[in-house]
Amino acid sequence: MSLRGYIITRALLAIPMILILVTVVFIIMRVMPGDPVRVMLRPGAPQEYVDEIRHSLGLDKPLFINLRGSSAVVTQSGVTLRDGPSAEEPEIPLDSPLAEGDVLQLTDRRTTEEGEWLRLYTADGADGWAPIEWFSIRINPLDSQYIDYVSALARLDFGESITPVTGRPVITDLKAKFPKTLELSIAGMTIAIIIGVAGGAFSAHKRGSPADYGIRLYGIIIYAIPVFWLGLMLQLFFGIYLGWLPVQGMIGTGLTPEPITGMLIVDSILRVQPASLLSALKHLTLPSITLGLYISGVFIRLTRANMLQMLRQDFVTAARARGIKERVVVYQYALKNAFIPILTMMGLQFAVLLSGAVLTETTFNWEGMGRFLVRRIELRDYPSIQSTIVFFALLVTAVSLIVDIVYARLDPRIRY
Amino acid sequence: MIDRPRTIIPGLGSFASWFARGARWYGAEWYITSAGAVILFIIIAVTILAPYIAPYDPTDFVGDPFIAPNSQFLMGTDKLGRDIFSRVVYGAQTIMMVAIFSAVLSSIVGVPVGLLSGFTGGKLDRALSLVMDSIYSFPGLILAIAMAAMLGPGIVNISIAIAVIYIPTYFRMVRGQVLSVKEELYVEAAESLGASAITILRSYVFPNVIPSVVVVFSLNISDAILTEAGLSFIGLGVPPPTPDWGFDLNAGRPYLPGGRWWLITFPGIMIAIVALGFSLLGEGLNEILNPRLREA
Repeated sequence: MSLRGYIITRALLAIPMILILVTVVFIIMRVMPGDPVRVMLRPGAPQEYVDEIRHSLGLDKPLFINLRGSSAVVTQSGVTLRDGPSAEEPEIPLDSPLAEGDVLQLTDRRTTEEGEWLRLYTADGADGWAPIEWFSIRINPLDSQYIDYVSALARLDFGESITPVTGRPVITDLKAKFPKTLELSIAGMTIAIIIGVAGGAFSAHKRGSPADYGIRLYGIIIYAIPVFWLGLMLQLFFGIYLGWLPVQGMIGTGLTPEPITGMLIVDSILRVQPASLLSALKHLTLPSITLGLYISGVFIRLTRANMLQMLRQDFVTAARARGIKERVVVYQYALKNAFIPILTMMGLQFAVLLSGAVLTETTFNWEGMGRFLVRRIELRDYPSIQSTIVFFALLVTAVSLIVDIVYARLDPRIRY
Repeated sequence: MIDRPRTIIPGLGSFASWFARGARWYGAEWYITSAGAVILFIIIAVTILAPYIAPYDPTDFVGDPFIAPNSQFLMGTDKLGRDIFSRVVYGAQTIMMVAIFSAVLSSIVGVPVGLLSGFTGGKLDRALSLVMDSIYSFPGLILAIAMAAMLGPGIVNISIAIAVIYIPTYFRMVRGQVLSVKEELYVEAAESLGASAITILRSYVFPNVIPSVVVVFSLNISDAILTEAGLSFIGLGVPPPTPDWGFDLNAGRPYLPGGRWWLITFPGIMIAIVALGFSLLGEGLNEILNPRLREA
């Protein structure tokens, strides 16, 4: 298979994965117990407000298939809407009377002693109940929450916030936050790769020695330390006691460069602002070390396992037989060959990296996507929560796609 | 030739010789497992004996706020004057309950589904694997955050949120084992002797899967502890004033610039020790129970 053919096949395979992930998010957010509107509003919110929010987010539609009917056409004159599903409820004043042929949105049906009643929304946004006999119902099975959700995502529509700024597109926030998370992730990943590859290779080289056990033990211990606590301890030591580094935020006040990429370090360089660059680097140091140490344990383990496998290969034996120094055999012959699988497996640790980033961002008030997610959960801004999680899902899929393609590019055997 | 220890459960009098033989046979893995087991034993004792160990009620205001550790308050007091040592002791109950409950829950779902999927194969297997792999690829903590945010606070809800993200771990491991056991000669022999699918599953496949389930279970609890702590650190754990390590860490965070180190040090150390205990136990057991993997 050609590289292009492989890329196309692999990209097509990503589609079901994305679909499954967004469906999982949908199930968590809508189908599982826990009502989104309840999450958003505090107890005791007036029912009309609850209904209004529910309707504006399309949460009053059926979940997957709409067999209830999505709209109702008025079939006679003199149709009025009432406050509840009963002729005794007060009538709702309408801006313009309903005429034959008007199409109303249908959001609920209820059978009472007086027969079946429909809950309807007019084009002006007024809503009320009316008996089913006055209408003919149109059924559109695709008018459901799930289809709305998937088709919005297909159009890359991530919805709009409710709080703190109503109507602000969530994608605007995500665009601003993503580069910050990316910056932290790249820095953390770099530190983890340095520690992981060096430690893992040395550990494999000195297999069975105290150094090997020490490094492996470090790998296990560092993984058991909660990343946020590691961050707090580094803050306490380097930030508070020694006073070397700032413990909160991303850059000093007034130093933020005009955004180009959104990544503060890159922007500082592009705008040629040395003071900003220095400040950004200082702020990045502790969070990236925290994140880097956290994943370094996994990386050590991966590198060590791959290196041990590589050291058993024939070419290593051959190199040793030729009398090449052990150091050269290990660090040039074996490590070079182990590098591709190591990098691939590290790419697959991206999910762990993101989980760590969410906690690290919270610890350091780093204004990335993780902190955004946590803050929006505090504010109960449901559309932002859902979209951020979907965005994470897309990111994970994209990264695994890129990793596979890079791997195939580097190692042609994969394509067959 | 060294005798291999015959039993995992020691006879009462021969504990020392049993331990020594194990150490000789298994080497470093034996010590790793033992270290994990000792931590596990201590933490379970603390969990059960909390009312006798803790000097104060963990939710009572027993002293002035922000007292540094001293002989009366071993780990100091928090911003409300509660005894941190008592909160740390009782906090073990919260985190252990969530971790064990969630691990039991995910194994109850993950193991049978993995057995079924691997054993039946075909379209069902492919569909289940695709779903499980997708969930597995998702950052677990973020999935748990979403669920915890939707389900609301509480021990049961948090456990469910954590349980869901670890189901694929059991599924993948069990399914892989089933696939390899299915190819074994003894399974073929049983099949040709007319054993039913249920018999093969029960008598040949399942027993081979158990050691790995034990290992994953232990590692899973370790992960679940860290996830629980992470969730409660960002405010999605059990509701206050229940003592909870992650929540207490977050509550102590604002006082860090004032140098009040005891607020954040002790709950964090506890999380690390308990997570480490389970992970050592899991790693060690893995080497002991699955010796085939030793060279990997």
